[in-house]
Amino acid sequence: MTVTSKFNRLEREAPDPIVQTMTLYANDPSPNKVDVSIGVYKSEKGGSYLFPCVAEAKKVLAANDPGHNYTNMQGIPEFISGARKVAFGEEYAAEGKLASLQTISGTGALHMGFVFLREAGYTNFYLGVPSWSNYIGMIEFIGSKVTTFTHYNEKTKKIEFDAVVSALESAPANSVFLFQTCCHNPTGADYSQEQWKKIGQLLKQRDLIAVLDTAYQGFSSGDKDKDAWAIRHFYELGLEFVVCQSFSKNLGLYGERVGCVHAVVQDKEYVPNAQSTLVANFRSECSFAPAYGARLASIIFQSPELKQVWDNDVAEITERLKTIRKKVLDILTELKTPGKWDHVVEQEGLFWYSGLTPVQNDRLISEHNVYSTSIGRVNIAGLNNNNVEYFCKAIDEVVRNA
Amino acid sequence: MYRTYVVKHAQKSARVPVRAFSSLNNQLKAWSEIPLAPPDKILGISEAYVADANTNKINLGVGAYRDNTGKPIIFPSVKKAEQVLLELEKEKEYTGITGSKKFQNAVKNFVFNNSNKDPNGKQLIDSGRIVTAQTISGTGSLRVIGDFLNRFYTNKKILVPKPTWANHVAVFKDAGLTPEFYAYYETSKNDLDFENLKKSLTSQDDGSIVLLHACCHNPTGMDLTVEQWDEVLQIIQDKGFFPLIDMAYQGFASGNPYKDINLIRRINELVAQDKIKSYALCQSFAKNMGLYGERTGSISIITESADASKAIESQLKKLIRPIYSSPPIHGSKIVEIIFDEQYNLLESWLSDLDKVVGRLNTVRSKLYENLDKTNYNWDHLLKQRGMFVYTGLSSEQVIELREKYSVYATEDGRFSISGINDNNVKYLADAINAVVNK
Repeated sequence: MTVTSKFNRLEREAPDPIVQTMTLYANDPSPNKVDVSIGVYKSEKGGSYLFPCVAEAKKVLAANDPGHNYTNMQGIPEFISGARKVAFGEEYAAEGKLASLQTISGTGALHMGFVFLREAGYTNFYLGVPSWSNYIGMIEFIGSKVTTFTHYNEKTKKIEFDAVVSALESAPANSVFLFQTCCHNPTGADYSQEQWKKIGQLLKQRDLIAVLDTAYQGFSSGDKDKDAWAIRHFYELGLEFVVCQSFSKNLGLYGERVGCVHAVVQDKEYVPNAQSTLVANFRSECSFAPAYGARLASIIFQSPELKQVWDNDVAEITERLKTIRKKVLDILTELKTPGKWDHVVEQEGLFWYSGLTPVQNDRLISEHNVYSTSIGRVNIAGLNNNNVEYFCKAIDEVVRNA
Repeated sequence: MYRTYVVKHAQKSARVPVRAFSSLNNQLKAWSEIPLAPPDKILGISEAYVADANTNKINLGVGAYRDNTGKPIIFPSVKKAEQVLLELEKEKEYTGITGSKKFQNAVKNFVFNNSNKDPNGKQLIDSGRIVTAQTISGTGSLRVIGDFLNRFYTNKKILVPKPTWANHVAVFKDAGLTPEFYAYYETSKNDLDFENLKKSLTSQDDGSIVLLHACCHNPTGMDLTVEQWDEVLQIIQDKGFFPLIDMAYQGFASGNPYKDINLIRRINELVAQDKIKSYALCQSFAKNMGLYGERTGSISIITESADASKAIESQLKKLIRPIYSSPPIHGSKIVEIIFDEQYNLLESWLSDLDKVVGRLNTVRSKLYENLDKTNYNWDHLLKQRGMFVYTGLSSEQVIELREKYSVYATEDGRFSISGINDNNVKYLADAINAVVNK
């Protein structure tokens, strides 16, 4: 049969590398195997983790079932108002300068944020690298352009701040700078408050726009308010910017797709324009964001008791991540593993950007059944008291022999 | 010669750029007179309805089910599935980019295999020729297939019935396709305009994409008969059209979802005979499980071979990843449980759905009974199916209904009849009679 397919332009695409890693892990029969690849929090016991505040909220929701009717196109009002408070704090959230849309979690927030900026005439993006692998594809997907600069120096294992400043100083006016507020993915290297101040100043001076992606709020300091420092500082500076917020990690609501995009509009007269544009754009993509996860989040936002439980959950998780980091450093020091390993405790959040080479990462898998990503990003939460020593010995071996 | 209508620039042109967002910018003055983007029409109606103090007010705007007391319902079978979920669910980790295998298989078996009643569909499933992806309900599935066809299909023109759901045009345009209308309904006769439907399709470019409403056509409620579908499917073969089927109301025509998919079974037969190579189907559980707000739906592409399926699936993943990464799990887990034999919920869901549709049919008949037929022929009401009646009332009459009688409906004369119940049907019919007999 010689029918030419109407889809003859299609080629078969390779799966996401992380999906390949996860498949290898799933098929590995070794009892010692360690998964430190995908960015999902794991408990000390090594399994999946349901936040206690979410478990409680599920019961509350089941007992007060509102059903599954259509929500608002902007999103569930209680969710929007709670999400604003989490990102901007009570005071600024109440000032009426925000246009917000409930989205399909963080990816959806970024996508709707990028589409919104395109509509407003801003299509020229700057991004510090290395960065989350999806950003560039997402920006180019909607036809905007992206220029990269160095965010992180692989040799010193620290932020390359001169490169950040020089990008801000040289970018044309109206360019968009995409930053992560905390727990940088994949490097774990965050800007200090002094550095944020400098960035804010340059954004203002040079008439640039920022997109602040906040996917791990709370996992840096253990305190969600502290981790939102950059957002609130930019707000105080009178900047106009976009915040893309996800509750995948800090409420563990991954699969429920709970997120929000906010545009800060300093001249309140234009808030309705921004708001109606966000909604109109969403109408032709999704119509509504999913209700269930946002309802769970709203219950937690509105209940002082559950909010307290949530604060404790986040603090405990962060504490565990820090303890594990410390252990990794201690064990590597004890093993006298060649090289300098301080960055494991200097970096923040879920990820340790190990600096291991691709060959060493491959060997971690082939010789030790330890699965990190090919770029050497280790999900610290995949480690626990039972496997941390095994993991460190594996690192020691590959550093010495590969 | 039948004239095809180019779809007028729908939402986008009325949309306002937000350059004013940069209000600190010097351009501020130049943009200060920009009007707001218009609110969604249906939502505007709901807002006006809420603000109306008349205690007799009736909302016939939104396409969501209400019971005989005017309240939204939770399907009892859905509630049971949620109880199972509450017991079983211990985490909320990500599902795949295109959803879980279990969800995909449930949809395939339900829709294409017709739960073991469609051997051709089964054959397509078994030979790996169906790619299914969970999406953000119906709108999301239309958007994903719109983007997909814009990228990979040879033709950008998509033919949609006139009239059609307003958002069809907006979604396809936004995805980069070019929607054009084909004739469907003759408003002056309150009937399907089948002769012009065939003519206008035949006069179109070969290889265009054609959108078909599987059942309960939105907004007219007027569906094609089995024989008429066969004629349309013949035109599709002759013209080499790519069929895109939208099935938002499966079950709402007959009360039984397995009976409402004649079009799918017929087209599967043609695919099995190699007369149609490929098609796509958008469906959702928003209406037939009442999962509206949970955004639970799917896109399926019926491909030419298992190899083509692999390429298409990989491209769908590549397309979805930069838009929203993965779909929401709560609604899809409910669907998985309802179709999972061990929970024994399928029959109770079918019975829930049958009750819902039964009430709509009762309301339809009651409205018909109460309408004055001396000056206006209302027989079309009884031919129409689903959640809507397409009254044929003019926009002036709809506005009069709203302003004088607090009856809220879209100005195209579409009434969402689930807003009607035993308590208000007489009031509504009297209002319509008064407006029509004026």
